[in-house]
Amino acid sequence: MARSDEPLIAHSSYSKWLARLVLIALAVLCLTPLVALGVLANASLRFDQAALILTDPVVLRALRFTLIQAALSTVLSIGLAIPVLMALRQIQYAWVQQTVRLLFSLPLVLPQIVAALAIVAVFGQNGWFAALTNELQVGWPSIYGLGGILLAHVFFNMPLAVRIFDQTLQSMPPEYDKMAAQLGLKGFHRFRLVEAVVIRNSVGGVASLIFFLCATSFTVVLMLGGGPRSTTLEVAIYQSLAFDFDLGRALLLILLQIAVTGMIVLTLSLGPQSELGGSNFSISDQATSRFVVVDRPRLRFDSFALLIVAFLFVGLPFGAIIIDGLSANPLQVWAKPSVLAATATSVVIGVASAFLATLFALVLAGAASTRTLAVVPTLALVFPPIVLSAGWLLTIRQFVDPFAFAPALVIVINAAMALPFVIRIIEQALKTHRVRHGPLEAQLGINGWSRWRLSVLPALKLPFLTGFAFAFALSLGDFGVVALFGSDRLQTLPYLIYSNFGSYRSQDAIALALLLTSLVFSAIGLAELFARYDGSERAAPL
Amino acid sequence: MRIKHMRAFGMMLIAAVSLAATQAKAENGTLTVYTYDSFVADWGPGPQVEAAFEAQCDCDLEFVSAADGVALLNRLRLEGGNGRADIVLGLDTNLTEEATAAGFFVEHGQTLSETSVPGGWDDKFFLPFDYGYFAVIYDSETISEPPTSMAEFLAADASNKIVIQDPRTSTPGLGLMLWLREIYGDEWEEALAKLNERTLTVTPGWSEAYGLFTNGEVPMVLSYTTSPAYHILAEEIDRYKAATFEEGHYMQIEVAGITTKGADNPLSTVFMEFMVSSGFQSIIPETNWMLPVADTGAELDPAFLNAIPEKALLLAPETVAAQRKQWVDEWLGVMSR
Repeated sequence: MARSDEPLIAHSSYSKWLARLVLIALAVLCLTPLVALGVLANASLRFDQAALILTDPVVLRALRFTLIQAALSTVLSIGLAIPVLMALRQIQYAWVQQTVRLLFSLPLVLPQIVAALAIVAVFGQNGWFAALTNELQVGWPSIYGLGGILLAHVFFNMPLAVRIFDQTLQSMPPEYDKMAAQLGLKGFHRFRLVEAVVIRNSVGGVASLIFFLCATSFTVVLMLGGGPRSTTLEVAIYQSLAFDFDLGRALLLILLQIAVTGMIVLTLSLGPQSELGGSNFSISDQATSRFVVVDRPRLRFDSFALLIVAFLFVGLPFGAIIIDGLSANPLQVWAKPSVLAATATSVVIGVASAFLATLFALVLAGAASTRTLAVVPTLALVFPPIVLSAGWLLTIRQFVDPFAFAPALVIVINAAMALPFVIRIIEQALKTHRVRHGPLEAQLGINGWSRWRLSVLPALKLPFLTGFAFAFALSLGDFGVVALFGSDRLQTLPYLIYSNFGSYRSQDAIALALLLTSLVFSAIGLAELFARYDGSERAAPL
Repeated sequence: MRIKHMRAFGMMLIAAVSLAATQAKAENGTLTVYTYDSFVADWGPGPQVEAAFEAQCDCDLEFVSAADGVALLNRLRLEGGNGRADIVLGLDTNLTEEATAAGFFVEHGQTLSETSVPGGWDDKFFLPFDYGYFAVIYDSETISEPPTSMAEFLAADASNKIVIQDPRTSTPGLGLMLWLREIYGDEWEEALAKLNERTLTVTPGWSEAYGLFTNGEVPMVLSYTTSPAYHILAEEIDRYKAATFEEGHYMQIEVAGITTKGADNPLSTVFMEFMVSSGFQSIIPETNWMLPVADTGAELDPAFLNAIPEKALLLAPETVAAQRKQWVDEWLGVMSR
């Protein structure tokens, strides 16, 4: 049985080198901007300033608020994701599962301004629920403040957690289902003894991912926070980098953010990494793969109700986008040459960075140790996209016209940012695959490229494609990186959305958001369809 | 525009391959103008300005855009003076002090007789091309009796809230802060405290605030006196109106300047002259939704009539540059309560 700090898959030495190369590339990608900022800030950077910043009440308040809201958002997102996940797995209708999976893939792609407006349209003081409660003569609480921030962060991240855990569980050996059924395990007990054991390993990683996303959240925090008392460090970084151009202060704030959030992520990711529970079940799976858990109740009311609530919570804001988008004459908006060009740009960047991210994830997953895998790519997230882009601009402008290289930089930075997601999605599948097929591969002497071609890739088509689609979606929705590089030459869909919002054209902007959502919906849908078509090793998880 | 977008698409496909091949050849060469996004958008003044200028100069006018005025200045800083810009168009008076101090610009050398902005203009480096006034825009279907002064607005019942922008990240947010500062001076803390009670939320930029407003979430928003004209002329909606305040309205003046690189391009001066002529000025009101600084050759559409308040307020750029940090801290202190 593999110890947890061993690589997931037996490997040749060159794949080890490849993995090291990827790690080095990541380090260069993330650290160069810091060095560049440091060199440039040299004049304005004084270390007595560091003390000043660390005692500045505005900074301390921002830091405290960042940590509190990120911790609460993480706990809430994961705490709510688990019952939703249980309910999802208890529903036997495949179409229900597919629909939920598709919907839950979408929130992360929405530009923050669009998501915040959609959330407000549903939950705001003049939103759908407020209108409903007004009819009923009862009050509707204000969302502005910590509540609104948490609402938005759960909207973004609860579905993400469900998706990753669900993907993890899909690679659970089918024997577990069989065993649980034979033992008559049901409901919570079954979850505690079977599923919980499998996802336990991913909880730390997913939590650290969500913590980061929330700690570096910016637009929704300001928009729904009700005022500057809800300010994250990211706002202060943005302010000093973009608005004040005070590089020294920006650098110090960035280092502070990296130190604090980095520590938390390390703690979360290095939590107990228990072995995949009971992998000694690993017998031939062919016989069990079509095993149907017959005694699972066809429809449990409470699971169904919970699932409907979760579905509405995530779905209603999309409903608002669809209604607004459709009323904006979408076909006419979509057919504009500028929109077609931006769509093409977004798709090309998305495919390229998804390809890179998946490739990197495979190389890393194939050879790096589990711990490296858990920590390194997530740490790449600590570096705010605006810092990476600004730092790289400063670096390459010495040699070339940086804006000519913008597309390449956007692709690489997007890929690095999608990497942790892709790894989370594929790692459990790889682990399971190794436990179950490793011995057979060894016995047959399959290794190197032929092992990937004959064994790994065919078996793990679904998680790979899902990871690819997720990376594509993330890149498609990215605005942070493009914000700095974007110009008339590099216009992506989110860029165009912001640009429309900035010129009174919020209707057109929502129509574009609808286009963006449809693109991601199709990409994730296609990935699922394609992966399930003829044959991943298990036709469906249930 | 079409050609530009095709080019943008082509750029993607060849990714790293740089700007080669893009310059069209014209008799008198190329003039490169950095400006903000909404200026060059399909619906902005850019396409018409390009056509009008190219028709008279027999040259190629090339726009390069950044997100907004602040991003424009940052782009200059990031390029460290080695950029391609001959002219930068779209900074406002809150940014000119820093831009001049950084040494990116040369004197424009224009006589200022063509231009008129309220309060006068005598900057040697920058020439104004349009201006506007900040205002509280309200939804007349919710608010029937709008406030007639800042004092009345701040003192009004807090149930009708406003959404404003953060002065740390947004130009209108900075404008509101300076507006209050100009009216109340050192005694502005009380005004800020009242504003805090009137505020539903503070957004990072104008777009988020205006989105919340047109979404129907909030009946008031900080925007420009010209905003209602957009809704009337482009959407035929007249429910959104600007509240006129007795104390006067704070101004935003948008300017352009010639860079040190542009000083060597004879087209730069030609463009600056063109910018304050009616050929350029007539395009501005209904594409950039700001007020012209010179004769447009025609009357302004009546939709703009309410956009010009009697009293204009503006702090000197050097005062703003010197005091901004201090004021933002004071603003933060009160608004964070």
